[in-house]
Amino acid sequence: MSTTDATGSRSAKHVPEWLNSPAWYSKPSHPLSPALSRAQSMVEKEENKPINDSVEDEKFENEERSRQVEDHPITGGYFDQSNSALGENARSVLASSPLNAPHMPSFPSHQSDPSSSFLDGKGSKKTTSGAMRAQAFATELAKKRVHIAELQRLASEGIPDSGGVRAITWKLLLGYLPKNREAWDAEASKRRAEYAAFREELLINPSEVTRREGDGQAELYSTGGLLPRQEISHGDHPLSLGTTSLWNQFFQDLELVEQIDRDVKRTHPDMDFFSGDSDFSHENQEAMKRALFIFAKLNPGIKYVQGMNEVLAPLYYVFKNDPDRENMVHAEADAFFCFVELLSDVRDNFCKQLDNSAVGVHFTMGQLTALLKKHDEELWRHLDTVSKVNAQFYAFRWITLLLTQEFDFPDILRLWDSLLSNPDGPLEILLRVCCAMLICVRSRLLAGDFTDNLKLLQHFPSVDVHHILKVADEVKDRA
Amino acid sequence: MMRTVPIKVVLLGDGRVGKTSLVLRYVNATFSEQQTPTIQASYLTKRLNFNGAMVTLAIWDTAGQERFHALGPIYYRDADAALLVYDITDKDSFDRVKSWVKELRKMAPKDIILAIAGNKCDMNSQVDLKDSERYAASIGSSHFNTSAKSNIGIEETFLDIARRVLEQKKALAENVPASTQRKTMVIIDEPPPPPPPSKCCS
Repeated sequence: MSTTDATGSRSAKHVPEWLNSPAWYSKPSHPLSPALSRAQSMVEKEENKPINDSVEDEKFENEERSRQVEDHPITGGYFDQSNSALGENARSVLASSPLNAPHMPSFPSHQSDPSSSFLDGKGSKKTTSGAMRAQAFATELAKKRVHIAELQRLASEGIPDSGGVRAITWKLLLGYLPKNREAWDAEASKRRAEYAAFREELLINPSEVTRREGDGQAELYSTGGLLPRQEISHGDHPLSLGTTSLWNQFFQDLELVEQIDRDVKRTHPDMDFFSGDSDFSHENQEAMKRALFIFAKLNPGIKYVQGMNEVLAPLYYVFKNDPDRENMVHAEADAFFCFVELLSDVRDNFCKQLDNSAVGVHFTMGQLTALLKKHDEELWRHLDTVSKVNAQFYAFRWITLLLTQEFDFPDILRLWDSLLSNPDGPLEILLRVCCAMLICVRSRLLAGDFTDNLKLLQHFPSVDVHHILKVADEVKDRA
Repeated sequence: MMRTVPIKVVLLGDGRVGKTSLVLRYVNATFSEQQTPTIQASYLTKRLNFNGAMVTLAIWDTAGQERFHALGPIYYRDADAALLVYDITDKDSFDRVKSWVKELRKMAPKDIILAIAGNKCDMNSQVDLKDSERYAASIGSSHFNTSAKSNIGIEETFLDIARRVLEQKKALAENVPASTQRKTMVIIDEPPPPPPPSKCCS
């Protein structure tokens, strides 16, 4: 276990060169993706192999964790049922969405580009086990029907950084892509069209609506079957105070937009991808802002909570760096839906009204404390009774942000491989990882007082994530 | 052995007014234009020698966003002082200071020391300085113009807080029996004897 100065702030954490390498974000000038990895060429080879796992697949189908979101006490589905006007319209748009794009589907199955990228250079240093891992993924992803339990098992050991393998795997693990490989393209097209409809529906300036109203219905609907956006009362104008006023709504939205804007700009300030001053980083910021705004509009029970930008960031980053151009172009839509999926598992932690309920963040932190007590009673006692470091002081951020502010970005991705692939859901393993983090610095904690320990845990030292994950596994085994 | 007086200060204020930047400027002498939003609260400490008295400021830098307010009381419940921060370019953030004061009146210790900082004073103000100073005076608070970016007024703000807290603790120590002193006083000697049984009538 290696440690660094506990007082080091997050911005001081090391970002490896490759994350900021222009190779990640030079816009492809080529219609085909410029850098398809070996893994994907392997995908092609594997595709022709006979497939005989369908029976097994069915067997595992029941094991897959279900992602029922409809039962949620505050919001139902990924858009809130109580969101009368917008939800209704959004649903209508969904139901009648005319959008389709035949050129859209292009999950990497029929492309190959052997031109070596810098990733190949990096890959040459990889160990054999790395190559074997890539091979295993290629085999699994090439199957007609992806075996989720097997994919979970592979991903829990870490997903290769190259070739868009992580992007596809995360989409599968989050249930965004169906198991049936043949359905990938159609499903992605459908969702991307849905997202385009959300954008059309929700990101709109009221003066535009008023203008269109004035221009008459013909123009409004000429774009292809869109239902009326909103009833506009007589004399709706920017100074109207009526709650149904479109303009009133607009100004409330403006506040939301500003809030999201100011936070998104502060996402990973040490990475050019998010916070540089290039057109590319601005494009990424815009995409993340739109996705968070749409989420807030569709989920008025939660809206936007600070830190959501941090949870969206790894998804968007991974999808935007998919060497497949079509996937890269639609990273925003894909990240939005995966964000929705992910939050359906953990969003109760974002909800203030639920803080003290059996699903809220205090309960979750209580679970962490109980887990620690069970596995390391001495450490638990020291934190709880001697140094009196309440879990709320450090674990709140760990849990709500899924560890995105505690580690270097490559380590976040590796941790998320394990989080997203956990058969019992991300929260279960998240608690074990948090517990493991405490155990990994136990000797320092046992020697520390309130101030030492709180500072240590609020600026978690750089500890090998593989070691943390190993300890997290042990926590499970002894459970 | 010299005793160190711990002073617990909590920073409160709207999101993005610059609470974290203010504290980081003060504690670490650093400034970043793109400070990551604070989730819940960060804990920082700074040791001072105040006219010969050793003081440790334990600073809770809280999150500004509404969502985190339900968690607020555990940070200011036993605070010695609250530093209320607003952004002089954002009038709404000053109104938030007023609502924080109301909440503190209800939830915080009665003798909590208050200070108000109008941050970002390197920029054009949208808030009438006279108004904010008058308001501060009306609630027994001091008021400072600060800029984390240009390092203006920050040292003064925290020194003012430390001075007033120390004065208050001193006054308390002189005028009231030891047993009713605030529990945040660190007494290196033996703890004071328990108060004698009450002789008052029931």
